[in-house]
Amino acid sequence: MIAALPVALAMLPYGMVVGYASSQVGLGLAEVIGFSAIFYAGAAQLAALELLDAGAPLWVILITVIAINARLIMYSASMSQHLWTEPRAHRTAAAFVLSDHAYAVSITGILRGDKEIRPLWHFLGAAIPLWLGWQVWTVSGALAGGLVADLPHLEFAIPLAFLALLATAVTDKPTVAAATVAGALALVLVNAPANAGMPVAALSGVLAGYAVGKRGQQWA
Amino acid sequence: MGLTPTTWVVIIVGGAVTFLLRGSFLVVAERVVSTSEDRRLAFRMLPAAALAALAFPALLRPDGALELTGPRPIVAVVALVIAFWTRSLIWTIAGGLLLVVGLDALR
Repeated sequence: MIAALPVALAMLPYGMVVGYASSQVGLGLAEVIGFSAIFYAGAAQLAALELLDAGAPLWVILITVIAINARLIMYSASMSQHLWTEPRAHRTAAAFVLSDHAYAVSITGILRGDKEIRPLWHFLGAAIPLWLGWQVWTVSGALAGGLVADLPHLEFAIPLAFLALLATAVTDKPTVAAATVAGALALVLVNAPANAGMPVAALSGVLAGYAVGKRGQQWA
Repeated sequence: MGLTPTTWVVIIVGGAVTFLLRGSFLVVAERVVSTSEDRRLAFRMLPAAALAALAFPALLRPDGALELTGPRPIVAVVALVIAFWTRSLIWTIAGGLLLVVGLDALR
């Protein structure tokens, strides 16, 4: 939960840019809030707005949204391994606030964290402040306009946070292999359509880490 | 305001579809929890792989372009060292941002 606060703060520039971009294509405040609270996915929102603006049909928008947000399935799969003893209602509520940042902060908290604290509290302790922060930043962006779009250097904060969280997730040879392959492939595939590079790279990393882990078992 | 009529449809249908992705495993977690060692090993790789796939492109190729001369490669290497050395979120963000500001001042 403590780790969620700097990350929530670091999301300010991106959240404000998304809010600002939304108001620029003609969204009212209610719609900005609707996107932030119900849709709650920045990159997919920007893509959906661009398509809406261009007059694309709904099914094209939905396919794009699914492609961009497909990575959420990976987070859901990973989290399910830690939350499966919770009642379904709790897990459903948790799913609603699942995001890149919530996953990144809470999975590292769960992996290295205090075993006394239930994984669900690790997760919600990160996910709820992040969700609330996102609402505040996007609305501020819609209201305050371009003012924030060029806050110097703060665009580095989120990648730096992901890098720090990565360091806590890399603990042995298999995870080194997973991170190396995923990171390298994600860099190569950065321009793949519909952000498909990220899930493809991550799953390749999983395979690489799995292979290294299996080989380690054979030698052990 | 030409967007207005369909915007709410996109918000609600898109939000519902995204929720299905979010809930895909979590809602049925009791049925998908890994019991075999092999599956557990694969699931254990997900955090490192996902975080690396998020971090490196965001740090090095934020606009899709590859710049080898700018401050980004330096920041990436130094931040990686800080991250693994301190394993601290605050120190990595603070150190990285200070370096960015410092490199900017030197230019």
